Amino acid sequence: MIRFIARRWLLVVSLVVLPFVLAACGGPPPVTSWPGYTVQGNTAYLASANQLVAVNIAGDTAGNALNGWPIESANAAIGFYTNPALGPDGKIMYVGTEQMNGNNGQVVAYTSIERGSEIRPNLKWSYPLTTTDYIPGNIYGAIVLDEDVLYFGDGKGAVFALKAEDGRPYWPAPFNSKARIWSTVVVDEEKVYAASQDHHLYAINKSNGNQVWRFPNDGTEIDALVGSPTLYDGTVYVGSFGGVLYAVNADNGQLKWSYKAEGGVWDGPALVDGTLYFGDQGGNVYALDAASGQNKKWSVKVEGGVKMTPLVDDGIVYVGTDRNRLYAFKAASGQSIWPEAYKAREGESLLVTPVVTNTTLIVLPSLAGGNPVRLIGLNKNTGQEMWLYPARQQ
Amino acid sequence: MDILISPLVNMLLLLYGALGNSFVMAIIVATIVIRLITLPLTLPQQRNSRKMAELAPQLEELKKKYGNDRNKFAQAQMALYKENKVNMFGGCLPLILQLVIMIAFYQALTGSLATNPLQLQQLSHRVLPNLISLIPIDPHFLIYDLGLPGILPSVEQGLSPLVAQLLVFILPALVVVTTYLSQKLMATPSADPSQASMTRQMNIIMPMMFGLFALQFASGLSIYFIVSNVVGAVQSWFMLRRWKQKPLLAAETAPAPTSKGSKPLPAPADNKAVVSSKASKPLKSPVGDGNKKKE
Repeated sequence: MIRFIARRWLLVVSLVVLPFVLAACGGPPPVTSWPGYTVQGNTAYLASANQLVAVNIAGDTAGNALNGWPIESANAAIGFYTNPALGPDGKIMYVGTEQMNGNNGQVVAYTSIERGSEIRPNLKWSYPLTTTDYIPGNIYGAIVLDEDVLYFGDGKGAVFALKAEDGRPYWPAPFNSKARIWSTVVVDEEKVYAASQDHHLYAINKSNGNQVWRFPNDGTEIDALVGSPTLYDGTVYVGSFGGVLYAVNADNGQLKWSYKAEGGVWDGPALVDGTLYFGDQGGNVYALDAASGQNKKWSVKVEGGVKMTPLVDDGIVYVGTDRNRLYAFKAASGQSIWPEAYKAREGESLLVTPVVTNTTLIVLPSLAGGNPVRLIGLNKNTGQEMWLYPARQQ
Repeated sequence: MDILISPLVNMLLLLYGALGNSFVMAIIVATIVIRLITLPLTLPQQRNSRKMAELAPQLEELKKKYGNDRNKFAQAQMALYKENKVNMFGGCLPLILQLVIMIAFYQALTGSLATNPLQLQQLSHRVLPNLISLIPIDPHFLIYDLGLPGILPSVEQGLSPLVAQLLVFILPALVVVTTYLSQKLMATPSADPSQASMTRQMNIIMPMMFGLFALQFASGLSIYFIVSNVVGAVQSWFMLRRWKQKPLLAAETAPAPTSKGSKPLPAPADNKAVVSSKASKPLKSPVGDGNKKKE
């Protein structure tokens, strides 16, 4: 009898546990974070999962964390998802947060982050400041610092402006779109441009948070705008999830031209010498004439979808994919300059635009299966690994 | 699992577009569709359980006959079940398949809502090009975000903690109640006191377990549980009503109408247990009587 009951209980427990086991075992290890970083001088500031790390990127100790780092978020359920912004003097860092299984974003400001600081980085302020302040959605776009004001969107479609000094709101009220804003906003002298997943691009008055224009505004339907726009010389370039790149007049929100790519377009293009470079989720990289958007100079096929804005440096286009590949192409012809694409670890995605120094290309893969964040220094001419953070175990 | 998730994601998106951009309606209709598709799995399982219940009196007699000789009882039980085409493990495979479908549905549900950029990146590889314009899905339903557990933070902010907590428990409570009712209807009465006790315990434990799931997982899963339970309960109610009027074993042992050309079931062999739902006579031993002397 006891054995019978024990068997039945075993069955009950198995049935209860099985869903969790199957859920955990279904498919490849999930990417668990989309980290961000910002480089200043010889230091890269990483924001990943619930840690902020400062890593030396030059000299013999490249790949080593600076003393006093990493610092962790106050709560393990609060993670950092995007590039931190640094103050003009390099002594303060602003970063947005996501709350796992929740929706309340935060902006945190840390002081004493500079290299060689005797004081460990510490929290200066965090917004919401009071119980009446509220960021309804997680923050997935970078914080943009412009003239002592921080601008950012949130996962519920609001755009906030906070004073960098103390975190108090700069606008009377946040601007609200109708769906989430996961992209980084761009700012010029007068306006803030925000791409919303309510299928619109907004221009917002920088001083008061009021809408200046909205694209499209003539009843035309476009797909959701997921990635960050690019602003260049009076034109805002923004890609849609449905795979169209739009060039919009920054003054009045009128469409200049559009280009249909093969796959969805996430982050906006890089623009160098009158040419736009961007990728799509179908695994294509394009070079287009920025003025007309019609004269495709070249396009190449890559392995995996492209989410990032490519990096263009010294005539070379560097672009990573969500299938752990990083490519280097000649900007003029699209010809590959490395013997083969750099391949990060299996399961990693290259979603963040690399940063280049004199000789080194710095790459930040997204996390795979809960592994700790990595920062990789590559020889920019060959694509060979030069250093790693954290250092490879001997 | 991907083989299931991608079609489910596209089904949810298709229904979302067709049902006026209402994700809760998409979940409800998708759940009903899934229940209908899995009917060939659930129905034999229920028929099997029902047959076992109908055989309970015979089993009780076998138990009396063999007393503590568990081996002989087990052999007799096997023979009885085999004779009546009852699969002792018939309930396990459909149950596991249903669990797999439930997990795939949950992943499809959270995946199609794509509540963070990584999920959207994964979604972009699953969605059919014609359905991309539906993204992002509006996850709101009353006071819930269907992709997250609990109630909307904006609703929670304006309420006292007690009221907010009470609201959080509404969907899990509905899951518990509907799971209990559905199980109660599906449960087959057992003559075995230990099995009956186990069934009673299961009827309490399983709803509580699903209630805990509902508290911890996205509220869209609670909608799936509730609709699935209601559909299952309705299905059980109809089947029970039919089987009460016409027991399964009686129907199977009754001679088939000759006009349809079916053959009558073969008569049980002498050395097999006599099988009839209405049998009240002592059963013949399915094993040789000679063995009995060894006891």
